[in-house]
Amino acid sequence: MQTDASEHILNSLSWRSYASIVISVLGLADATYLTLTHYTNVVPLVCSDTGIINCATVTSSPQSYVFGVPVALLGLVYFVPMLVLSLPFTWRSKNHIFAWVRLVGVITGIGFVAYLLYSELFVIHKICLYCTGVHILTFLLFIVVITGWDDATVNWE
Amino acid sequence: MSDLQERCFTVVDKKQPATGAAGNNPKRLGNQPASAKSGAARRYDRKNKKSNSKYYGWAAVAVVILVVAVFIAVDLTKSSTPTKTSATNGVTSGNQPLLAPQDVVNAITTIPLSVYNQVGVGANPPKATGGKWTGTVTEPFAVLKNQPKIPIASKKPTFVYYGAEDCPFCALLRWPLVMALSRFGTFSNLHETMSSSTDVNPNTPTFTFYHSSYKSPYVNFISYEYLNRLSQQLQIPSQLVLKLYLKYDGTAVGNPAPTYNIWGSAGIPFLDINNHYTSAGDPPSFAPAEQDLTDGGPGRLAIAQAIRNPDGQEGLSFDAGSFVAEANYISAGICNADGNKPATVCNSQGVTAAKNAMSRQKAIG
Repeated sequence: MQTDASEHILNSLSWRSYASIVISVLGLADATYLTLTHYTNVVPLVCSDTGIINCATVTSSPQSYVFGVPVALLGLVYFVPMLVLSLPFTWRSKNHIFAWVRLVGVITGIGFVAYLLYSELFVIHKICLYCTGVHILTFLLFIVVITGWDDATVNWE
Repeated sequence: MSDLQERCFTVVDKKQPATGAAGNNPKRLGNQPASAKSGAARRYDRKNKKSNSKYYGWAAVAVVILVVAVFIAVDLTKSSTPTKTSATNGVTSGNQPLLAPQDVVNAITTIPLSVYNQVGVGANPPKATGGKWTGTVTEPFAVLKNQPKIPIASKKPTFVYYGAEDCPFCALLRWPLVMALSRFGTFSNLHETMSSSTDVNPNTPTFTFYHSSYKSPYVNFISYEYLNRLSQQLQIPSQLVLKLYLKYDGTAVGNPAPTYNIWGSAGIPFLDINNHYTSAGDPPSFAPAEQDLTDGGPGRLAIAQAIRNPDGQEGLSFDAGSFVAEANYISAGICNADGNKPATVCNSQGVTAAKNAMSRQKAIG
């Protein structure tokens, strides 16, 4: 027997799962591109290098490293587990660990976005379009996960 | 019932009571009375009790949006608020260095890659790939080999600058130094000054590394300005830097003594890129520009903008292309010392042209 409430929750978990998969795949693609341009010259960084939009200045700045690791690589590493945690079975699971790791992941991600945005605006004074793309995707993932916390945890004992 | 429904709500179906008169209360799952609720119904009730918690999620989203909005608002406000800087025309600057105007710093630290690539190292050699500027910039560095490592505990290569605020050649060289180093890192609190008013090429507008800081993941930049523009003591260089200076500029064995100094003009400005490349004294690349920037030249902002457009009228008037070429040489020196990182800079056309020119030199040592 299906009730309105159960249907609502099922629909919520479904669209959040698919939305987070799409966001994570896009984030993964963007971060992969930035990582390739960081480590190789085979893939050019196609971006304006004049005015406020200047990807090269941002991606080669000291702030492009955190603890000695390129931020682009951190983005790549971030979206891989987030993609796994976006799969439908993790949203439906009664195992608390999936929801908690997903929540910690998006909060960590949005924290990083705040730091990187601060760096772009106040330290480097330049904006990187591809980085902004990752920031927006991370923010969207944050919205999807954090507003879906109740639905994801309704099945918990 | 779908697989997902089965997983989430099987309890509801299996424990559905046969009797009860809960009606169609949408807050309950099924028609069971409150006293005989299923597990899922209890969970749903629990969820309803904490229905306010869903607003916490949106509140968190609102907080993030607010933080971003504040960032942007502060940035916009900051950029429209004048800071305490000198006028962009260097003539009006006093003896005390002031924070360089942000528009000048922005202009000189973000020279487009296309400009670096177009200029390369000038017309001869190799020929510039386009544009009107046809100046010639010779290699500013002596290429060294078999030199001891600079004894500084850093995983990054060390770049030593030793100069003085009153020195007119240092004044010229700081422009391409700031340009090149900004490709590998970021300056903070970059200050501006002018060369001495009593030396040759007086009042050449420039920056000073005193009071400024530099951060880079690629290179460890050490700078000393040992005199201010009134030729008074400013910074005392470390013994290590003095030893490097005395050895590689030739002063230690007689002036000029070009053991390592290919130009034979000892003195400051002195550059040492990880004991791989050194330069001392008047940088020959800038000879055409020396007189054109005296007494403030066209002003700092105009200089910076002309360097961004070396083929323009202003750029041609003081040989702005030579600054770009010099920055390419300095960039090439850093690239060769740091393992060619970052690739976007080190594999670029302009830096490659500088590397090629430097590789034709016979290494000393």
